[in-house]
Amino acid sequence: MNCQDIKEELVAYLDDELDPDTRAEIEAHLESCAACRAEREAYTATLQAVGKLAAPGLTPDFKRRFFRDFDDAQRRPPWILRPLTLAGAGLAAGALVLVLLLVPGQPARQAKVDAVIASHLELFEDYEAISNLDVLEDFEFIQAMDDEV
Amino acid sequence: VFHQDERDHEAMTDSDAELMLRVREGDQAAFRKLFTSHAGPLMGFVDRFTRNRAVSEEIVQEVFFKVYRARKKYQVKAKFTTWLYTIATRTCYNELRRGVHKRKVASLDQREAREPPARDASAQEQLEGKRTQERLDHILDGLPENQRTAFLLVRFGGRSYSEAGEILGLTHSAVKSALFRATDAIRRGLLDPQTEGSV
Repeated sequence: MNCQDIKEELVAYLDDELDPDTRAEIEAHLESCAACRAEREAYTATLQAVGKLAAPGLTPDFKRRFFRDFDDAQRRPPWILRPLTLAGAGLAAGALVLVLLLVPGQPARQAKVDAVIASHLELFEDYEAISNLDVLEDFEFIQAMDDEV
Repeated sequence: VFHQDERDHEAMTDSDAELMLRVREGDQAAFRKLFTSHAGPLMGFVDRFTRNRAVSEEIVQEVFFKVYRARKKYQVKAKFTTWLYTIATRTCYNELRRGVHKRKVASLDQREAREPPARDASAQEQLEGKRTQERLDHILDGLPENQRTAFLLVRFGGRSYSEAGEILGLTHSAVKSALFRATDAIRRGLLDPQTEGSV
Protein backbone atom coordinates (compact mmCIF):
# COMPACT_ATOMS: atom_id res chain seq x y z
CA MET A 1 0.00 0.00 0.00
CA ASN A 2 1.21 3.50 -0.77
CA CYS A 3 0.66 6.52 1.49
CA GLN A 4 -2.73 7.37 -0.06
CA ASP A 5 -3.94 3.78 0.49
CA ILE A 6 -2.71 3.94 4.09
CA LYS A 7 -4.46 7.28 4.65
CA GLU A 8 -7.78 5.83 3.51
CA GLU A 9 -7.45 3.01 6.04
CA LEU A 10 -6.46 5.20 8.99
CA VAL A 11 -9.95 5.95 10.31
CA ALA A 12 -10.87 2.25 10.30
CA TYR A 13 -7.48 1.56 11.88
CA LEU A 14 -8.25 3.98 14.72
CA ASP A 15 -11.72 2.42 15.08
CA ASP A 16 -10.15 -1.07 15.27
CA GLU A 17 -12.25 -2.18 12.29
CA LEU A 18 -9.48 -3.74 10.17
CA ASP A 19 -8.56 -7.38 9.68
CA PRO A 20 -5.30 -8.38 11.41
CA ASP A 21 -3.22 -8.54 8.19
CA THR A 22 -4.19 -5.03 7.04
CA ARG A 23 -3.66 -3.71 10.53
CA ALA A 24 -0.16 -5.21 10.68
CA GLU A 25 0.67 -3.75 7.27
CA ILE A 26 -0.42 -0.28 8.36
CA GLU A 27 1.52 -0.47 11.60
CA ALA A 28 4.65 -1.46 9.70
CA HIS A 29 4.16 1.48 7.31
CA LEU A 30 3.58 3.94 10.18
CA GLU A 31 6.85 2.85 11.77
CA SER A 32 8.77 4.13 8.82
CA CYS A 33 6.62 7.02 7.49
CA ALA A 34 6.51 10.31 9.40
CA ALA A 35 3.97 11.83 6.97
CA CYS A 36 1.48 9.03 7.60
CA ARG A 37 2.08 9.27 11.35
CA ALA A 38 1.14 12.97 11.11
CA GLU A 39 -2.01 11.98 9.22
CA ARG A 40 -2.86 9.49 11.95
CA GLU A 41 -2.48 12.23 14.58
CA ALA A 42 -4.74 14.57 12.61
CA TYR A 43 -7.50 11.94 12.38
CA THR A 44 -7.05 11.09 16.06
CA ALA A 45 -7.52 14.78 16.95
CA THR A 46 -10.60 14.96 14.69
CA LEU A 47 -12.24 11.96 16.34
CA GLN A 48 -11.40 13.33 19.79
CA ALA A 49 -13.02 16.67 18.93
CA VAL A 50 -16.16 14.89 17.73
CA GLY A 51 -16.12 12.65 20.81
CA LYS A 52 -16.10 15.68 23.11
CA LEU A 53 -19.46 16.88 21.83
CA ALA A 54 -21.96 16.36 24.59
CA ALA A 55 -24.45 13.51 24.30
CA PRO A 56 -27.89 14.84 25.23
CA GLY A 57 -29.06 11.93 27.41
CA LEU A 58 -32.62 11.58 28.70
CA THR A 59 -34.37 14.01 30.98
CA PRO A 60 -36.45 12.61 33.88
CA ASP A 61 -39.40 14.50 32.41
CA PHE A 62 -39.07 12.65 29.08
CA LYS A 63 -38.94 9.27 30.86
CA ARG A 64 -42.05 10.13 32.85
CA ARG A 65 -43.91 11.29 29.74
CA PHE A 66 -42.83 8.20 27.82
CA PHE A 67 -44.20 5.76 30.38
CA ARG A 68 -47.33 7.83 30.88
CA ASP A 69 -48.02 7.89 27.11
CA PHE A 70 -47.14 4.21 26.90
CA ASP A 71 -49.63 3.40 29.63
CA ASP A 72 -52.29 5.49 27.87
CA ALA A 73 -51.63 3.83 24.53
CA GLN A 74 -51.81 0.41 26.18
CA ARG A 75 -55.12 1.11 27.82
CA ARG A 76 -56.98 2.67 24.91
CA PRO A 77 -57.28 0.19 22.02
CA PRO A 78 -57.82 -3.11 23.89
CA TRP A 79 -60.16 -1.69 26.53
CA ILE A 80 -62.41 0.23 24.17
CA LEU A 81 -62.23 -1.02 20.63
CA ARG A 82 -62.01 -4.79 20.73
CA PRO A 83 -64.57 -5.56 23.48
CA LEU A 84 -66.96 -3.03 21.95
CA THR A 85 -66.54 -4.54 18.51
CA LEU A 86 -67.29 -7.97 19.90
CA ALA A 87 -70.11 -6.63 22.04
CA GLY A 88 -71.60 -4.89 19.01
CA ALA A 89 -71.46 -8.04 16.91
CA GLY A 90 -72.94 -10.12 19.72
CA LEU A 91 -75.73 -7.64 20.41
CA ALA A 92 -76.61 -7.38 16.72
CA ALA A 93 -76.82 -11.15 16.39
CA GLY A 94 -78.85 -11.40 19.63
CA ALA A 95 -81.26 -8.67 18.51
CA LEU A 96 -81.80 -10.44 15.20
CA VAL A 97 -82.60 -13.70 16.99
CA LEU A 98 -85.01 -11.87 19.32
CA VAL A 99 -86.87 -10.22 16.43
CA LEU A 100 -87.20 -13.51 14.61
CA LEU A 101 -88.52 -15.25 17.76
CA LEU A 102 -91.02 -12.53 18.67
CA VAL A 103 -92.58 -12.19 15.25
CA PRO A 104 -95.21 -15.00 15.04
CA GLY A 105 -96.15 -16.96 12.00
CA GLN A 106 -94.24 -18.62 9.28
CA PRO A 107 -92.76 -22.10 9.87
CA ALA A 108 -89.60 -20.98 8.13
CA ARG A 109 -88.96 -18.53 11.02
CA GLN A 110 -87.38 -21.13 13.35
CA ALA A 111 -85.13 -22.32 10.58
CA LYS A 112 -83.88 -18.73 10.16
CA VAL A 113 -83.25 -18.42 13.93
CA ASP A 114 -81.28 -21.65 13.88
CA ALA A 115 -79.28 -20.42 10.92
CA VAL A 116 -78.37 -17.14 12.68
CA ILE A 117 -77.35 -18.95 15.87
CA ALA A 118 -75.35 -21.48 13.89
CA SER A 119 -73.52 -18.78 11.94
CA HIS A 120 -72.62 -16.94 15.17
CA LEU A 121 -72.15 -20.01 17.34
CA GLU A 122 -68.61 -19.08 18.28
CA LEU A 123 -69.71 -15.63 19.39
CA PHE A 124 -72.53 -16.97 21.54
CA GLU A 125 -70.36 -19.64 23.16
CA ASP A 126 -67.17 -17.65 23.71
CA TYR A 127 -68.39 -14.10 23.97
CA GLU A 128 -67.88 -13.75 27.71
CA ALA A 129 -64.40 -15.19 27.76
CA ILE A 130 -63.26 -13.32 24.65
CA SER A 131 -64.68 -9.99 25.71
CA ASN A 132 -62.78 -10.12 28.99
CA LEU A 133 -59.52 -11.49 27.62
CA ASP A 134 -57.85 -8.18 26.78
CA VAL A 135 -59.08 -6.61 29.97
CA LEU A 136 -57.54 -9.39 32.02
CA GLU A 137 -54.27 -9.22 30.10
CA ASP A 138 -54.07 -5.46 30.47
CA PHE A 139 -54.99 -5.59 34.10
CA GLU A 140 -51.99 -7.82 34.76
CA PHE A 141 -49.81 -5.43 32.76
CA ILE A 142 -51.00 -2.37 34.65
CA GLN A 143 -50.55 -4.12 37.98
CA ALA A 144 -46.99 -5.07 37.02
CA MET A 145 -46.21 -1.49 35.96
CA ASP A 146 -47.73 -0.11 39.16
CA ASP A 147 -45.72 -2.53 41.27
CA GLU A 148 -42.52 -1.28 39.73
CA VAL A 149 -43.16 2.43 40.14
CA VAL B 1 -31.84 -23.89 7.14
CA PHE B 2 -31.74 -21.76 10.27
CA HIS B 3 -34.94 -22.39 12.22
CA GLN B 4 -36.63 -19.86 14.48
CA ASP B 5 -36.00 -22.00 17.58
CA GLU B 6 -32.29 -22.02 16.82
CA ARG B 7 -32.30 -18.25 16.32
CA ASP B 8 -34.16 -17.80 19.59
CA HIS B 9 -31.62 -20.04 21.30
CA GLU B 10 -28.81 -17.94 19.85
CA ALA B 11 -30.55 -14.86 21.20
CA MET B 12 -29.94 -16.13 24.70
CA THR B 13 -26.34 -15.03 24.21
CA ASP B 14 -27.58 -11.49 23.36
CA SER B 15 -29.21 -10.21 26.54
CA ASP B 16 -31.14 -7.52 24.60
CA ALA B 17 -32.59 -10.08 22.22
CA GLU B 18 -33.44 -12.23 25.23
CA LEU B 19 -35.30 -9.30 26.77
CA MET B 20 -37.10 -8.69 23.48
CA LEU B 21 -38.18 -12.33 23.36
CA ARG B 22 -39.64 -11.81 26.83
CA VAL B 23 -41.43 -8.68 25.58
CA ARG B 24 -42.79 -10.79 22.71
CA GLU B 25 -44.24 -13.13 25.34
CA GLY B 26 -45.89 -10.21 27.15
CA ASP B 27 -43.27 -9.27 29.77
CA GLN B 28 -43.73 -5.52 30.30
CA ALA B 29 -40.85 -5.22 32.77
CA ALA B 30 -38.49 -6.45 30.03
CA PHE B 31 -39.71 -3.63 27.78
CA ARG B 32 -38.99 -1.09 30.50
CA LYS B 33 -35.47 -2.51 30.82
CA LEU B 34 -34.87 -2.22 27.07
CA PHE B 35 -36.07 1.38 27.09
CA THR B 36 -33.92 2.26 30.10
CA SER B 37 -30.81 0.70 28.52
CA HIS B 38 -31.15 2.03 24.98
CA ALA B 39 -33.21 5.21 24.94
CA GLY B 40 -30.26 7.38 26.11
CA PRO B 41 -27.73 6.27 23.48
CA LEU B 42 -30.47 6.28 20.84
CA MET B 43 -31.25 9.88 21.78
CA GLY B 44 -27.56 10.71 21.07
CA PHE B 45 -27.92 9.45 17.51
CA VAL B 46 -31.38 10.90 16.84
CA ASP B 47 -30.53 14.28 18.34
CA ARG B 48 -27.52 14.68 16.05
CA PHE B 49 -29.75 13.65 13.17
CA THR B 50 -32.56 16.15 13.83
CA ARG B 51 -30.67 18.75 15.91
CA ASN B 52 -33.87 19.46 17.72
CA ARG B 53 -34.49 18.13 21.19
CA ALA B 54 -38.28 18.22 21.03
CA VAL B 55 -38.40 16.37 17.70
CA SER B 56 -35.76 13.89 18.92
CA GLU B 57 -37.89 13.04 21.94
CA GLU B 58 -40.90 12.48 19.68
CA ILE B 59 -38.84 10.19 17.45
CA VAL B 60 -37.31 8.18 20.29
CA GLN B 61 -40.78 7.69 21.75
CA GLU B 62 -42.18 6.67 18.38
CA VAL B 63 -39.32 4.20 17.82
CA PHE B 64 -39.97 2.43 21.12
CA PHE B 65 -43.71 2.41 20.45
CA LYS B 66 -42.98 0.79 17.09
CA VAL B 67 -40.77 -1.77 18.81
CA TYR B 68 -43.58 -2.58 21.21
CA ARG B 69 -46.25 -2.73 18.50
CA ALA B 70 -44.05 -5.08 16.47
CA ARG B 71 -43.18 -7.29 19.45
CA LYS B 72 -45.22 -10.28 18.32
CA LYS B 73 -43.48 -10.25 14.94
CA TYR B 74 -40.01 -9.99 16.49
CA GLN B 75 -37.59 -12.61 15.21
CA VAL B 76 -33.97 -12.96 16.15
CA LYS B 77 -32.37 -12.30 12.78
CA ALA B 78 -29.80 -9.79 14.01
CA LYS B 79 -28.76 -8.01 17.18
CA PHE B 80 -31.58 -6.18 18.92
CA THR B 81 -29.70 -2.89 18.51
CA THR B 82 -29.47 -3.42 14.74
CA TRP B 83 -33.26 -3.75 14.63
CA LEU B 84 -33.72 -0.75 16.95
CA TYR B 85 -31.41 1.55 14.98
CA THR B 86 -32.90 0.41 11.67
CA ILE B 87 -36.33 1.51 12.91
CA ALA B 88 -34.81 4.73 14.26
CA THR B 89 -32.99 5.54 11.02
CA ARG B 90 -36.15 5.01 8.95
CA THR B 91 -38.17 7.10 11.37
CA CYS B 92 -35.58 9.90 11.13
CA TYR B 93 -35.67 9.76 7.32
CA ASN B 94 -39.47 9.91 7.38
CA GLU B 95 -39.30 12.90 9.69
CA LEU B 96 -36.83 14.59 7.35
CA ARG B 97 -39.11 13.96 4.38
CA ARG B 98 -42.05 15.45 6.24
CA GLY B 99 -39.86 18.46 6.96
CA VAL B 100 -41.46 18.97 10.34
CA HIS B 101 -38.18 19.27 12.22
CA LYS B 102 -36.92 22.07 10.01
CA ARG B 103 -39.70 24.36 11.12
CA LYS B 104 -39.03 23.48 14.73
CA VAL B 105 -35.29 23.98 14.28
CA ALA B 106 -36.01 27.47 13.03
CA SER B 107 -38.13 28.29 16.06
CA LEU B 108 -35.48 26.83 18.37
CA ASP B 109 -32.76 28.87 16.70
CA GLN B 110 -34.85 32.00 17.22
CA ARG B 111 -35.21 31.15 20.90
CA GLU B 112 -31.46 30.51 21.29
CA ALA B 113 -30.70 33.82 19.57
CA ARG B 114 -32.40 35.59 22.46
CA GLU B 115 -30.19 33.88 25.09
CA PRO B 116 -27.69 36.21 26.85
CA PRO B 117 -23.99 35.88 25.87
CA ALA B 118 -21.65 33.64 27.93
CA ARG B 119 -19.76 35.35 30.79
CA ASP B 120 -17.70 32.84 32.80
CA ALA B 121 -15.12 30.23 31.81
CA SER B 122 -17.46 27.26 31.86
CA ALA B 123 -20.01 29.15 29.79
CA GLN B 124 -17.17 30.04 27.43
CA GLU B 125 -16.37 26.32 27.04
CA GLN B 126 -20.01 25.61 26.40
CA LEU B 127 -20.07 28.30 23.76
CA GLU B 128 -16.96 26.82 22.16
CA GLY B 129 -18.58 23.37 22.18
CA LYS B 130 -21.68 24.83 20.59
CA ARG B 131 -19.60 26.44 17.85
CA THR B 132 -17.86 23.12 17.21
CA GLN B 133 -21.26 21.46 16.96
CA GLU B 134 -22.48 24.09 14.53
CA ARG B 135 -19.40 23.62 12.34
CA LEU B 136 -19.81 19.86 12.49
CA ASP B 137 -23.49 20.16 11.53
CA HIS B 138 -22.58 22.44 8.65
CA ILE B 139 -19.99 19.95 7.38
CA LEU B 140 -22.37 17.00 7.81
CA ASP B 141 -25.01 18.87 5.82
CA GLY B 142 -22.67 18.86 2.84
CA LEU B 143 -22.12 15.08 2.90
CA PRO B 144 -24.02 12.47 0.87
CA GLU B 145 -26.84 10.90 2.91
CA ASN B 146 -25.17 7.51 3.40
CA GLN B 147 -21.90 9.08 4.57
CA ARG B 148 -23.71 11.32 7.00
CA THR B 149 -25.92 8.59 8.43
CA ALA B 150 -23.05 6.08 8.67
CA PHE B 151 -21.01 8.69 10.53
CA LEU B 152 -23.84 9.45 12.97
CA LEU B 153 -24.58 5.75 13.57
CA VAL B 154 -20.94 4.96 14.38
CA ARG B 155 -19.87 8.15 16.19
CA PHE B 156 -23.06 9.03 18.07
CA GLY B 157 -25.03 5.78 18.02
CA GLY B 158 -22.03 3.65 19.00
CA ARG B 159 -22.68 1.10 16.24
CA SER B 160 -19.90 -0.99 14.70
CA TYR B 161 -19.15 -0.75 10.97
CA SER B 162 -20.87 -4.11 10.44
CA GLU B 163 -24.00 -3.00 12.28
CA ALA B 164 -24.10 0.33 10.44
CA GLY B 165 -23.76 -1.66 7.21
CA GLU B 166 -26.72 -3.89 8.11
CA ILE B 167 -28.82 -0.86 9.03
CA LEU B 168 -28.01 1.00 5.81
CA GLY B 169 -27.76 -2.00 3.49
CA LEU B 170 -24.06 -1.40 2.86
CA THR B 171 -21.02 -3.67 2.95
CA HIS B 172 -18.38 -3.31 5.66
CA SER B 173 -16.06 -1.93 2.99
CA ALA B 174 -18.63 0.68 1.90
CA VAL B 175 -19.15 1.79 5.51
CA LYS B 176 -15.37 2.01 5.96
CA SER B 177 -15.12 4.22 2.89
CA ALA B 178 -18.08 6.37 4.01
CA LEU B 179 -16.56 6.82 7.46
CA PHE B 180 -13.19 7.79 6.00
CA ARG B 181 -14.69 10.36 3.65
CA ALA B 182 -16.92 11.85 6.34
CA THR B 183 -14.07 12.01 8.87
CA ASP B 184 -11.73 13.51 6.30
CA ALA B 185 -14.27 16.24 5.49
CA ILE B 186 -14.74 16.93 9.20
CA ARG B 187 -11.01 16.99 9.77
CA ARG B 188 -10.61 19.67 7.12
CA GLY B 189 -13.59 21.61 8.42
CA LEU B 190 -12.83 21.42 12.14
CA LEU B 191 -9.05 21.49 12.26
CA ASP B 192 -8.44 23.63 9.17
CA PRO B 193 -11.50 25.93 9.11
CA GLN B 194 -10.02 28.01 6.29
CA THR B 195 -10.53 25.02 3.96
CA GLU B 196 -14.12 24.50 5.10
CA GLY B 197 -15.45 26.04 1.92
CA SER B 198 -13.91 23.19 -0.06
CA VAL B 199 -15.85 20.54 1.90
